[in-house]
Amino acid sequence: MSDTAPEDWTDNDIKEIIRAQREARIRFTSGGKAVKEKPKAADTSALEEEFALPKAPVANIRRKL
Amino acid sequence: MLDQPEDSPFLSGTNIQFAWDSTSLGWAKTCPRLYYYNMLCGYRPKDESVHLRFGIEYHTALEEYDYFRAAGADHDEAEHLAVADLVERLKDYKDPDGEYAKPSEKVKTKENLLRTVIWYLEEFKNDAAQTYIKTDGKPAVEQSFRFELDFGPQATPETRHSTNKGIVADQPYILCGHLDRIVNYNDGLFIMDRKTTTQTPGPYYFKKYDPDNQMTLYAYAGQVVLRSQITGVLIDVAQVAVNGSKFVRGVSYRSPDQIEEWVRDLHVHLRTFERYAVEGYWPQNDTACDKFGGCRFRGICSKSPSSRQMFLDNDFTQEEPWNPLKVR
Repeated sequence: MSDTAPEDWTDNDIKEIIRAQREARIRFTSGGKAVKEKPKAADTSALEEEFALPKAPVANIRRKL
Repeated sequence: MLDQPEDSPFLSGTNIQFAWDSTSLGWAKTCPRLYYYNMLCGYRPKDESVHLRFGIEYHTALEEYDYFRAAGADHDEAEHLAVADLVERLKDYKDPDGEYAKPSEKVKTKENLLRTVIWYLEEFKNDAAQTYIKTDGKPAVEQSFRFELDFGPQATPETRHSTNKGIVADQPYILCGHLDRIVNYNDGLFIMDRKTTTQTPGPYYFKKYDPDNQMTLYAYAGQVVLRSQITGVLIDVAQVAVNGSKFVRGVSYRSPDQIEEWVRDLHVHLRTFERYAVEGYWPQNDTACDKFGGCRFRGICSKSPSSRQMFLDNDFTQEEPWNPLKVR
């Protein structure tokens, strides 16, 4: 969104913002490579590589529960 | 109990706070002087507003999406409605000044806010965490809570009376606040909290929530509100960077005896805070000055006491002090 954005947004403007951001996200999560097919939205593999999620301490959880 | 929802959180005519939320409690636990500057004086750094606005708009947009979904809208419809409202609210949003803003401020732009909201919704489009629907049929989203503890301040004669059980406070302590969302997740009930950060939220990031004042208070509050055991807290962290936003979900568990211990400790803390208020002096905790990237008042406390007011006037604005009882 730029400073010259229209004051009154139409439904089509909103759709365009969402569409553009969805595409930007796909480009971002695919490392900038062109993506021909839209990947599944829940696919977080690209993020999981970069951010190693904390492993659930199963033994501790069981103990606490 | 209070008659007005926006009454003062302090006992009348005193600095004794009886209504506490995680923010004020966190300040007081971290450093009494930090609490004094924030809670009693209302000092706010002049450069804080962009972070605050960004966080508020981010939370509001996601909260609206959750409401629309719980009301039956599908993902696309709920996303569209939430984004449309967000865009409308952002008309008066001022992007940080590119020349003078700090790096952490520069990324808090309108465009990055929209991006972070939409990318979050796409990321968790098919989320395993489902909003808990309360017994009244309403979704447990931005759930306000307020409940009394079984004890209260004892410092002033006006607020206590004697019974055959001893001295009893007329005004009990109150815990209050807002829970972002309560969800069913992995066969348990969790409080969901959303954070934004410019840092990389690796495993080290989540360690700070265990133990943690805010998260344990939320688990306790969820337990009271729902009358059900809360397994823990889900923390969805959005890293807002220049070129993109990334999301990581962390889990912080709370067992019943951990919550019980927190409440027991709270009794002791509140007695201590009450003493500061009675004595009219909130001492520095000089072991906390470098936490969380450095206290916002470090530049004040490092000055000679005689010159602090001048620096406070120059670097801070004085606003209405934080009120845990204010409905937001």
